[in-house]
Amino acid sequence: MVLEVDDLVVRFESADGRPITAVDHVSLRIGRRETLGLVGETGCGKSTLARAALKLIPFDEGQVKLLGRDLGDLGGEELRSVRRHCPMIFQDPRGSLDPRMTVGRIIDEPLKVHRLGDAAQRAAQVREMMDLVGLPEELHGRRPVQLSGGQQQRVGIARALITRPSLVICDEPVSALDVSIRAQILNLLADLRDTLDVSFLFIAHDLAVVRHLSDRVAVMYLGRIVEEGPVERIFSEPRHPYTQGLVAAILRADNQARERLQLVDRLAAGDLPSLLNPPAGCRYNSRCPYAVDDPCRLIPPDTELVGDAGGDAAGHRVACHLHGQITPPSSEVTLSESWEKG
Amino acid sequence: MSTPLLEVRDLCVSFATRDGVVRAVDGLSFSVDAGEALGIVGESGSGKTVSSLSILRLFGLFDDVTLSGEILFEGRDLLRISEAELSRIRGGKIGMVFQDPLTSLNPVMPVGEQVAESIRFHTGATRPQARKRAIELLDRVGIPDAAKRCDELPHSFSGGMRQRVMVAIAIACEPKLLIADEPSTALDVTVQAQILLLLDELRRELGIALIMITHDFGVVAATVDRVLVMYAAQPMEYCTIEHLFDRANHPYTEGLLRLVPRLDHRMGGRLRPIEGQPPALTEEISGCPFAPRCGLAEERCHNDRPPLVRLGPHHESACWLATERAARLTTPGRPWETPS
Amino acid sequence: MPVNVVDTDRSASRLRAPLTAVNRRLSTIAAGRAWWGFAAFLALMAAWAIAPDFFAPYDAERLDPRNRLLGPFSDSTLGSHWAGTDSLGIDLFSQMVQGARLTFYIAIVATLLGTGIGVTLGMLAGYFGGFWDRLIMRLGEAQTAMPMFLVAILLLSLLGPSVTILIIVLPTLVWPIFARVVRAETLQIKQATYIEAAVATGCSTPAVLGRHVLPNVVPRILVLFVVEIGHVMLAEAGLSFLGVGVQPPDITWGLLIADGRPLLTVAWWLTILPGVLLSITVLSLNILSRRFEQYAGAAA
Repeated sequence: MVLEVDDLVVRFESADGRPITAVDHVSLRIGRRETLGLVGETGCGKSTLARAALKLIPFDEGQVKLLGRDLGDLGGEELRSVRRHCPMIFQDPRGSLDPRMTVGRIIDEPLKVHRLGDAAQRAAQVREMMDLVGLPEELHGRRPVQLSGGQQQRVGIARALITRPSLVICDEPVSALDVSIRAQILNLLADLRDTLDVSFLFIAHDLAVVRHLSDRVAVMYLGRIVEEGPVERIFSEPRHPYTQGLVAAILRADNQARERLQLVDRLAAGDLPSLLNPPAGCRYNSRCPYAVDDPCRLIPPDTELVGDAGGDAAGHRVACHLHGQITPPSSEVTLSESWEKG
Repeated sequence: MSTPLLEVRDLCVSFATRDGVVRAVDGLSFSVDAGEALGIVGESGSGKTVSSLSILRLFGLFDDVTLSGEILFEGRDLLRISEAELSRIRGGKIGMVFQDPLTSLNPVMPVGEQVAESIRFHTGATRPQARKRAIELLDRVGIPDAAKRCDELPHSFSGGMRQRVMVAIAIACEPKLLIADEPSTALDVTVQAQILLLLDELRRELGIALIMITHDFGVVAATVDRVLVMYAAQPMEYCTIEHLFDRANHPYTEGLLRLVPRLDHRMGGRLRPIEGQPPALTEEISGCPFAPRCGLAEERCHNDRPPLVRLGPHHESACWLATERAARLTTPGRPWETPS
Repeated sequence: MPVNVVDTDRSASRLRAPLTAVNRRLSTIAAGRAWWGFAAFLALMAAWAIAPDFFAPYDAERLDPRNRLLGPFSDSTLGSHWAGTDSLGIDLFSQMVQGARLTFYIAIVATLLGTGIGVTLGMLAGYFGGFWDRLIMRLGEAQTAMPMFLVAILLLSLLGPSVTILIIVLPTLVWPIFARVVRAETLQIKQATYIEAAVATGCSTPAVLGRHVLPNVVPRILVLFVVEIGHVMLAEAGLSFLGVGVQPPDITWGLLIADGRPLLTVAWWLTILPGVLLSITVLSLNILSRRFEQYAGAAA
């Protein structure tokens, strides 16, 4: 396992001093060369979870193991040296690059920080990496503002991969990019995943983006993981009503678009509740069309394996009291039917 | 045929900036009938937002703007009427919803009052009348407990609720036309669906014409009748939504459609992106602006700007190969769906 | 003392708060071509400071009682004195040239010290926040609130006036300004994703501060540094004028102004000419700093 997160809890204080549990007993596993898509809406805690898993922010409970080493015990120098194995790629490509540095220096920085190789070796590696991510050599001396959004994100990717890491955290790496550029970057990440020995934690706010890259998908809602499983199962047999809503919310260009919007509206009604005052019982009960008082509004659901449990890692888990009883109505079947075709 | 509600003829907009003259819209024509929904689709810098801003001449930030062409709304040219007249139309006969509801709302004014203000300005209603109407509107757009919440400030509302308030303001004076500029882009996917549904419902219920500006074909698929695809300030293709799915003509439209997620895509399969970068708007473009990224580009594509070729009653494409491609695509099918 | 308008707003170069008429005028000059003239003037002053003997027509220490208090453009047995002579008959122009060195030396060294202290403390306050922020900023405020000029006078009269003490005392006038500006900038930069990226890369805190925060505040510091040289120059002149600054036989422009003051009614040039020189220098520094700021704003 590259990353093992067990029962992680991250608490904050709100501006007026009330406690907020941003990440609530979350467990995750990412194996070698595996890509996990982590999906959830604003404020669900997905970015907090990723940062706490790298100990970029402190966590309150639980355990994080990166490459078998317990991050909870590490501090200072040791923690910093671990960082070469788990870099991040950020949402805002321009903002994540120091405006005063040249492209070459930005990509070189991790090597310099971790003292990997002498100047000549590093320069060769930077050139090689620029080539690998599709940055023309003449950009070496440019500054980030002189680059397009897609190129800036390629620089971010090059910086992340130059230390040959084991795990790369991608925090919505394509959300800020235009559609045509987005596809270029997704393809690049897919290529890198296939050619390098690296795992990805790929964070996104919608399912559409993670589909092309992920081996497994975890869906997060209000600080908890509500469903997790192999990517094809999440798309073909989503068990949690929220996941079903997210699948329906993938905007597709066909003549059933309006019906799907209505489906989303039914499966994920209303607004996200505040983390300051989360609903009792299952946290999704305020938006769930199926929720019943007992047990949904009383007891938080356990995470259970569903379907053909083929081994532990391949397991499809869902945290829903009613997961066995929910069958999507006929109009919703189109979801899986059109899926089956492919 | 009656005259359309809004008719834009050969609109050109350019800005003088430090880096030179930026042509933000270059030769755009379209029309919207009463109650009809038009989608303007394009990536950032395609000119889709500027074209909507020009309709209401909302150029606060840009002083050096040059506009030409005609924007006929109910027969009057909005580019040539006085600012005072235009301000009666803005928010009155034409409502607008922007991408970012937080910056579009006044942070220190209760939301109900913001809706009521617009009603009073445009209809001369009294304060209690306007308030009553504001509460009705907030209720209509789906704010729970509207009578109580109308006295709250915008910051106590979620992003989706703020956007609902914006919609309430936009429809407060029963406009003939609603311009929605990426109304759901900043929102979460489930909330996005709610807002798009709301706009669609209101349009049908109140008979408002809608211009939906977006970068996402999925959004137009769910909400509009006809689509205008823009690229690098120029119109590329104009068609009905059915044509878009069945016989998209322009290579750019086709390229974008390939990128719209579909569940029958092979999982983990490679996307087929449009290679390259869009041109800078300060560049002088002699041929088709898409030619450098187009796999089918011929010499004339690089040298001469293609005309908008009329392919049917509601289908035009700015491509030298339009007729040829249309002939190939008359058999129904989805050529862009061939597996990669 | 001039009032230094220190904008802590980062977007100041684009969205300026309403400027006073003078302020606006200075910015216009800086934006136009005239700034060249002021830069050239400063270059000349620098040349005086570097090679005074080349520019001074006469020995600035040589007394000549026969030629006392000659007005501007008069001739003596030695030659012409276009700036006149003082009460001891020494050529004023030569003294002004000789004075440039110490004037600039004190101003630059003291400002450098103040910048060093202010930037370090400002960056620490901004980056770490909390206790250190409160401590450092309260210290700066206390210093700004106290009539530092009086404290400086007290210190200098207790310790005895000397150039060294002056260089130690003057930075206390400027460091709070640097600390405040750098703190505000650091608070902004701290929020930037590239700082988080640096931490995620494994940069140590000193590396983050030195490699990412500092280079991004340098443009602001540079602009402020140039203005503050003028500020310190005026402060030094003030202290020397009050007799607690530079002591003869050292010469600074401030001292020349002080020496000429008793004779203002009989020999105006002794006060006015060094005063004009000092004023133009401070003005030039101000305009040059505005030019820097506009340039930095355009580059960003």
